[in-house]
Amino acid sequence: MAKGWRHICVIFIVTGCLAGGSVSAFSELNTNQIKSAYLFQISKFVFWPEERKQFDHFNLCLLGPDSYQGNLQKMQGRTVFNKAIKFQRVQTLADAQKCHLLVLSSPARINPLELSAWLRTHPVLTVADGAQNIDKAMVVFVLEDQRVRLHINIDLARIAGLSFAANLLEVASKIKKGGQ
Amino acid sequence: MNWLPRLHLRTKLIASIVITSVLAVTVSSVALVRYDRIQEVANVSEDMRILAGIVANRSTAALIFADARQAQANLKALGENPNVLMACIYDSGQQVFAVHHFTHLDQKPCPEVPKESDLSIADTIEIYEPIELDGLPVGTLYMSLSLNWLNERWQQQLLFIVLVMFAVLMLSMVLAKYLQLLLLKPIQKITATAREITEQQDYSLRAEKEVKDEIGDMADVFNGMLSKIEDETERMYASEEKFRQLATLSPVGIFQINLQHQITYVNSRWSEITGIHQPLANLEHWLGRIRSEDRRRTLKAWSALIQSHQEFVIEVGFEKQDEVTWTIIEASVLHDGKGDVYGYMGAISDITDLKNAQLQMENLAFYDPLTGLSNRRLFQDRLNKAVAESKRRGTFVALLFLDLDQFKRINDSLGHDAGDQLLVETAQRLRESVRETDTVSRIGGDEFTVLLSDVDSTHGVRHIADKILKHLCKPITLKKQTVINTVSIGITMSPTDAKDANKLMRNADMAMYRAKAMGRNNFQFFSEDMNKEMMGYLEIEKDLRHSIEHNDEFIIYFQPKIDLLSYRFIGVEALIRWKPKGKDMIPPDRFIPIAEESGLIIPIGKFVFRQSLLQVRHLMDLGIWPEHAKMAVNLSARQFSDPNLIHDLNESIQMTGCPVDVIELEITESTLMDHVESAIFTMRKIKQMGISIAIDDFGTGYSSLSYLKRFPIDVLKVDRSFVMDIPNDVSDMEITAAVIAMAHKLNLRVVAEGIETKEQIDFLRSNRCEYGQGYLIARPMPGNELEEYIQRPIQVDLLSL
Repeated sequence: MAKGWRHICVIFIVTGCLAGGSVSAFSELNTNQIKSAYLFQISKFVFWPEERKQFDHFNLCLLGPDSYQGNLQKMQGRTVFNKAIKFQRVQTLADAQKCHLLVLSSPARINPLELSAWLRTHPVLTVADGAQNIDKAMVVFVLEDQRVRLHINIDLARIAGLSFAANLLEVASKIKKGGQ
Repeated sequence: MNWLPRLHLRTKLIASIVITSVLAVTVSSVALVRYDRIQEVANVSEDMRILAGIVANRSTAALIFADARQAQANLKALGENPNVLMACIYDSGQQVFAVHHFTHLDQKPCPEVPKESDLSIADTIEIYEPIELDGLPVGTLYMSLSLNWLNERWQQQLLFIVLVMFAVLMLSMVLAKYLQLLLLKPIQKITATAREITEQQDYSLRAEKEVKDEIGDMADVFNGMLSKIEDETERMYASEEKFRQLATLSPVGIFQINLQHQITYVNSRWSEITGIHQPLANLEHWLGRIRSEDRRRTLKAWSALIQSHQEFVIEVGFEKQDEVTWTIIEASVLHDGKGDVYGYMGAISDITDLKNAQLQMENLAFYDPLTGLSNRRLFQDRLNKAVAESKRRGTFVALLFLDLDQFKRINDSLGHDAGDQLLVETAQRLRESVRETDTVSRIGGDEFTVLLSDVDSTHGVRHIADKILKHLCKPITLKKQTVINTVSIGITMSPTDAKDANKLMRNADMAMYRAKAMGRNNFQFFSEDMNKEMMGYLEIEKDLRHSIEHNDEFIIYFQPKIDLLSYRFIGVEALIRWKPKGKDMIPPDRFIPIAEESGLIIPIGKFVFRQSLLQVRHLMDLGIWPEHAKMAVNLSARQFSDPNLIHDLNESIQMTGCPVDVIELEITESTLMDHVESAIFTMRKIKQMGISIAIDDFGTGYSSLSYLKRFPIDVLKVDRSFVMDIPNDVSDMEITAAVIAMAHKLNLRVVAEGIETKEQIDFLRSNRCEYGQGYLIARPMPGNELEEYIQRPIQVDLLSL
């Protein structure tokens, strides 16, 4: 199958399946699969600083245990901004300097202030699960009414020099902005 | 549309302006409204498309992240445009993801299947806008837009247009009225001028030029045309006047006839010629005046002119009282400007004088002006016709050829007047002697013919010939002298003697000569013997012509003459002998008359003269030609009257180098007596050349002494008929003696011809006749013998007698 057709199929699957928005509606698709699909789509609504666009790959990093049950690895080979997704696991923030998107699978271990300071010099989109992690992740997946919803921390993104497309903000169920 | 041309120009002008204005407003309004609608729809469509694009773009995330609530919120934003009826968002599986109606009434469901990017405009505008993410379709936005607001807008516009149109209508009517006045007034003035000209026939009027536009030009052109018409009219009047004067003065009658055959115009000359003074007569009336003989021909010519337009020239006579006016009518068709025939025009000329002159000329051509009898030409024509008629009917024709016996003598002695009177009287008597149906003609000089047609037998002809002889020989008084004239008649019959006119004439001529030979005053019928004689005559003439061409068949003999006192040789007479090749010698008395008659005597005479002179020249060169001896050559009547005579004599003398004083010309007495005055004139010329002249055969003619005295002659030759009877006939002896005596009185020398006996010589010598010639002295001999004869002592023979 050609690469283009593969993309179309994926989008159909993701949007087609997720358009319903209900996780239960697609019992065969688990939450991790939905979130990994969301990650892929979210990256299209995020604007990185110019220097990050110079990289050869779209670096998708995972800090912490594989909470996505291997679904992130499966994203390798797809493209974002015409760049192939390269998945890598990192142990520390220091390892994640060249990442475009950093999934924090155990955010509890991350010091928010340290992260905030690190983000000032590293434009990396941080993603985590659970509404309580809104201070550490710019995009947070929450489960509301059995649907995967998004919370977005614009303040944190602004620190890292990132911005979000308005479209994305419209679909976010909660936006943290100006400390609120 | 037949009513359209009947409308006034004023109405047409107003109507055209009003209709044009309304039409222009209507068309431009419709176009503007249409354009406005299209433009509005395009603008709205474009706006909505942009809006759809925005909403679609905005709904990407909602679709991607399955946020139907957000999608619906996005759709609501479209409600800012009051015309949007409904909007739907489809997901990538073409399922309705979100829908929103902006009206409460007539809510429709979303279309089941979304189209790809599309814009359809009907009662509503429907827009399908694809929703894409990263270049890939993730859904479709559908929008439906009401166009009711456009209809409301159109109604407003329509109201406005109606108002504008009404205003335009009012304005254009006012404008048209003004223009109508502006345009039509000058045209109406031109029309009024034209009408005035038509009514008054006054081409000096002119249209006023009020404006300088095309109508002003039209006025100029109209005025120019009027000037031209005025000029043309003046010219036409002048031309008509010229024609009228010409027609009045014309020696030719002029007429014009219309297609109804009415004579519409004639000049006065026409009336004079035709004798019709009733004006405007018709053609049939006119043709009725034409001589009945010419009427059929004239009607034929007229009908050819009327039916096939063939112009004609015809000669016809008009009967006026008892006279006939001869005319020439010429006529041809008249064409109008389109080439259609509208009548006939022609001329009639009076040619009566010409015709009379022509008749007179014809009379002269066919009739003898002196006697009034038909001339040779008419006679021959009638003879031909009579012969043809006799062949056809099997009857006989008799031709009488008459010649007066004493005409020449009477003419010479009593003058030409008397001769003419004799001819007139003879003609009258001839007419009286025959039937009216017979033709009497004068065919020349004193020759007449009588043509008797429908003759049964020679007996009747003989009777008429007798009657003519008797009637003509009655005495007639000419210049107070009573003379008796007789006539010799030759008669021939057709078809017994000949069947053609020429042969008949020849026969009659021969018969007439026979009558002359038979002593005149008689008639002779033509016979085959005469014909044979004539054939012999013709053969001799033919042989003569041949001999003249070859010159070797004529021989010159010379008969010596001697002095009767001394018996010495004093000269010779040249005598011609003729022996045609292969034939016997033909005596002179047989061929000389034929040569004389045919004119061949002229070349023969020249030949004899030239040969004789050559002979003398030869004998002179030998030194044996005696001094004073003469070479005498006969000169015939024909030669004597030949205008070239003197020239021919001179030519021969110069050619031969013979001295003139040796030559003597012998001319018969009768030759000289034919035309005495001219004979004297010719003889004087001969004498001036130095040539001697002798009168031959003296005593046989009718010489009067007065003539003889005037003749410049040297010698008289006493005719042999007197000499031959000496000494037996006393009267001949007396005549001979008297002639010799008379000659001597006139200082002429005498030659006696035909001396054959001693007694004759003695008698002549006793009467002192100077010279003698005859067989007793010497027979005619050829040149070589003459040579010997001259050298011989001739008197020896005579003395021995």
